[in-house]
Amino acid sequence: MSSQTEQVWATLLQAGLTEGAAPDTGKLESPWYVKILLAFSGWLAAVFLLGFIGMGLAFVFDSSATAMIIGGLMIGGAFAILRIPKNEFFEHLALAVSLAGQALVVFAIYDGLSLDQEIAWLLVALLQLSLAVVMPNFVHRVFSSFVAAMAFTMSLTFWGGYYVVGGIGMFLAALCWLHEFRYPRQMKRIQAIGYGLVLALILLKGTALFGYQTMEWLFSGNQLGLWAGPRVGEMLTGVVAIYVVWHLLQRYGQRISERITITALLGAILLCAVSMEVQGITVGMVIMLLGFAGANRVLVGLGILSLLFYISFYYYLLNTTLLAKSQTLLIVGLVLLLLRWLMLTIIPADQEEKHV
Amino acid sequence: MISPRSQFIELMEQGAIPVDKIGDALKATKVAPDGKAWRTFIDHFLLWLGGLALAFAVMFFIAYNWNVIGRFAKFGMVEGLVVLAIVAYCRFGGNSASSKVSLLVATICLGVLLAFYGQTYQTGADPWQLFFVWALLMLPWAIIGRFPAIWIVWVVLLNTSLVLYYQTFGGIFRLMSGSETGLLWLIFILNTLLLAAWEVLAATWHWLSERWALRLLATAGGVPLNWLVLQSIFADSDAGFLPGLVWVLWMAAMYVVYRRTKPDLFILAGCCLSGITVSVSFLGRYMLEDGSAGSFLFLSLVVIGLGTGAAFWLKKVHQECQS
Repeated sequence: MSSQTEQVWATLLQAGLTEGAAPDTGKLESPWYVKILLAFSGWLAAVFLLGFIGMGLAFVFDSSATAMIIGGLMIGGAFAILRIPKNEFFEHLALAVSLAGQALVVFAIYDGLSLDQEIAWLLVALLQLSLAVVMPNFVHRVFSSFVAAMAFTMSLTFWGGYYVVGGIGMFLAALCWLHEFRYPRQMKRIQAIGYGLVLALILLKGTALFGYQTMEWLFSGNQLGLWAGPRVGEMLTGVVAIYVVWHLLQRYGQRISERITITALLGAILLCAVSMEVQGITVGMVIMLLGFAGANRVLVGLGILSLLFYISFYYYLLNTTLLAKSQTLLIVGLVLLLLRWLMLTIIPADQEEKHV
Repeated sequence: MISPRSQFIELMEQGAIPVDKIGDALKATKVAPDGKAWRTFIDHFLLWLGGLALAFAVMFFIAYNWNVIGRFAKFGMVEGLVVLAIVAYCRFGGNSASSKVSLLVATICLGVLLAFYGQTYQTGADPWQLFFVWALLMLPWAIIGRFPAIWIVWVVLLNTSLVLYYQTFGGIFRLMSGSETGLLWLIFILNTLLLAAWEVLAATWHWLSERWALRLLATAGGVPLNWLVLQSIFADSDAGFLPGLVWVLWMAAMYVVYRRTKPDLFILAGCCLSGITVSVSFLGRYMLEDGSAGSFLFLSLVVIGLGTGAAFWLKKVHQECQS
């Protein structure tokens, strides 16, 4: 056990929340960038593995049924390998085998089943969702939940609901992060799915910023017949943002009638309202809130990066003039600073301990 | 240093914290922030986002070139904002978040002012001059600001002016000219020198030692070098050994500095990623020419082997850093 963990244990002992000697915790969690390295090498190995199958076992691609069976076996094999007690080599091997197997299964779904696009994407989403739940590996789960969210988005887009996906994704991500510690046995699973959803959300919001034209381009001119526009999508994300603020207030035992609750909720509503135009602010804000609520620096960093990304790309949006954008940003800036002034006035520095 | 969150998760995984006491334990260990921390967080969030939104509003307004308002009014507005931001900086004091935001807003407005000057008087200056003069004029503020974000803005401006200069004149000081390769060399050299200078200065001024800024600079230097090496591997003509040689030296220097002197797992992980990419590209370039299935399988195993080795080594370094 490290000296820092010993300090945490001492704090818990002092608070009467644990008892006895500190457990032997020799295992050290890898930082996020080491996990990215693992994901990258797994993906690269999977590409070469697919190349091997394509060149040496070309018959696999001749029949969808064969591709489905081989792909399924590979995923099953990866699952079996991942159940072996933690070993770096097997972890990499399983990731590569699983990713290559998934590519074969997706190929079989598209090539052999002759399904409508929306159904095919939905099947891919369900496959990835089940892998996110079942596969006993953190990186695999993040990847699968990310792909599941993207595939679900594609499916829903063909049904005309592209702009509501952001709200749905944000709600699911919020559920994961707000309840990450509630079920200790499922904690790692919930966190991995939460990361996958947040990454997908940032990417989806980014593409949504470029509007319907991008969608048409992406879908090769198909008539998408959207039944919900960008504003409905932004309103939905706003509702989720208010739910997150409300949930956090509840966590700290704040009643609805209390001054701090009313201020926080009104502030959140106002912020969501002004960011209807500068889309993405709400998403960035919620990611940061979720991150800060769990002392999760990776999430906070993702929130900051997404905010910088959305504000920078706002310049390039073509559906409104720079003058209109300037006015919107002026209002957003003033509202934010006004909210800050209100917060500092209503909750002076010496009173915050009483409130929480 | 392990974050309190990671320590808490470690203990939870061991089942050391009773389920019914997890909520209280989160608060006791400050993984769930207290009221003071929340207040500071929301304060900083609103301040930074609000300040940046105002600065961007000014930038967009000037970029729109609205004719209804005259140029003197526009100059007055932007100059007024610069002065206001500096007054706010002086008023809030040197080290508060408000003063840092004020200085950054002043810096952005300064760039807007320079761009508007060029737009109004059509000085005939090249675009690189705008960014270079901007970097030059903001330098005193960066010096008194004493926070990494403003220095990163300065670095970005310097990089931008260098790229624009190169694109305008097709080279620099007649030393490097013409191709995209020359530009990649310049970006690599500039950012590596800045990284070295930053590391040296961070020993004296501790406010410079924030890891995110150093990691950003290391990435800004490493990416162009890797691109150069990949270009030399995949180029049809003989691109020479220079990129490969410099890459080997750069990797060795990174190892010495960030493994031995100032351990930094992020930069070491980046070097491992670079090592895997370059090695596999080199092998792939020559092995996949015949397109045999065996080569693909071999490369797949090489990637898995290298990835395993890198992850194993990084975990060892991580453990050493924590003990």
